[in-house]
Amino acid sequence: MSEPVKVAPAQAGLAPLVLTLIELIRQLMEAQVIRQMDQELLTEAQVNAAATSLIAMENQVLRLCETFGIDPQDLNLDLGEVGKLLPDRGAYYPGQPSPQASILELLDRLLTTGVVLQGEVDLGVAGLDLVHARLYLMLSTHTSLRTPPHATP
Amino acid sequence: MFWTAGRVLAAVQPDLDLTMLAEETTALEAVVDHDRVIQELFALAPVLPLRFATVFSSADALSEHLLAHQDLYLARLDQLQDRVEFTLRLTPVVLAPTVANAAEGRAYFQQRKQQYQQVQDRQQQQRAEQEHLFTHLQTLGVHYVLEGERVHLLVPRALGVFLIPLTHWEVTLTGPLPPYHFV
Repeated sequence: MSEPVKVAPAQAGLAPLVLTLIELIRQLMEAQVIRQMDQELLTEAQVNAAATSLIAMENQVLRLCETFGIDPQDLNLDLGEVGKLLPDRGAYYPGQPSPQASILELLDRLLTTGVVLQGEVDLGVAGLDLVHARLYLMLSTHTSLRTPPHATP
Repeated sequence: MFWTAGRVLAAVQPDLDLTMLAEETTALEAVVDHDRVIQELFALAPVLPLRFATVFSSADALSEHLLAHQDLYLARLDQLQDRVEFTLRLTPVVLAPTVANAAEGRAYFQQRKQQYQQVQDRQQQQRAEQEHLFTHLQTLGVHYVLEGERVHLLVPRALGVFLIPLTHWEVTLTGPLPPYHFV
């Protein structure tokens, strides 16, 4: 197998941002799998398949980091008082108290309880309003949609 | 210059131009000068460092203040006679969980829980060690004030070593300093 092509860090462009987003989504899915696994909602085959997919995604992210000359640690962003984008390894476990705030934990908890977003977005370029979007968005997990609200952890 | 009222001696800057405190550069210089004077006097005798920019409108107002607070200041100076301040910065030692990351299936997710538990255990050890340190300081008669990661200690001057070895914290000790936080 040939060596992967490496890109100079200065030419990585939006790659760090995209990889950060992918890693956030990957860890969010991992947290949701853990919640469902702990509630014994998944079969052994589903748990195995989820683990295989998440490990493959993680390896893919690490390989792309190497290609673009990005330190995987740099995928995490320190957002000041809000906390970090991703928790440090071992700092967060779904459903357990966490001393370190992170956006991942916030999203995981919001998804678990469900959240409704309402708003308007204008997209444009060079001062021109081009797209107007009115949003009524409900984010939730399949599990919490099937479970009565008082039973959601 | 020094100003005496009753039994209190105060180091003051006469004819202060208050507009200099509004300018960032000159205000910063004034802060440094204020601290330098306190440090130099502290090397000679016990001092009560008053808050920067404590201003009196006239010499009479200064005398009036010193006489009114004379007993309080003298009592405080007496308490601080043989004590110095140290600033202790405690930074938790962050260690990545040692539970390995490579596994398959259910074990992959169970390792997440083990990593979380390991981090929780370490944090518990850190809290216990910190409490042990504070108990030790209290037994030595050291007063302390917590300020985030920093701990201001008021230590008897005669005391030699007052810290205990810590394994879960990185320790930075600064001092001896004037008793800034114990006036």
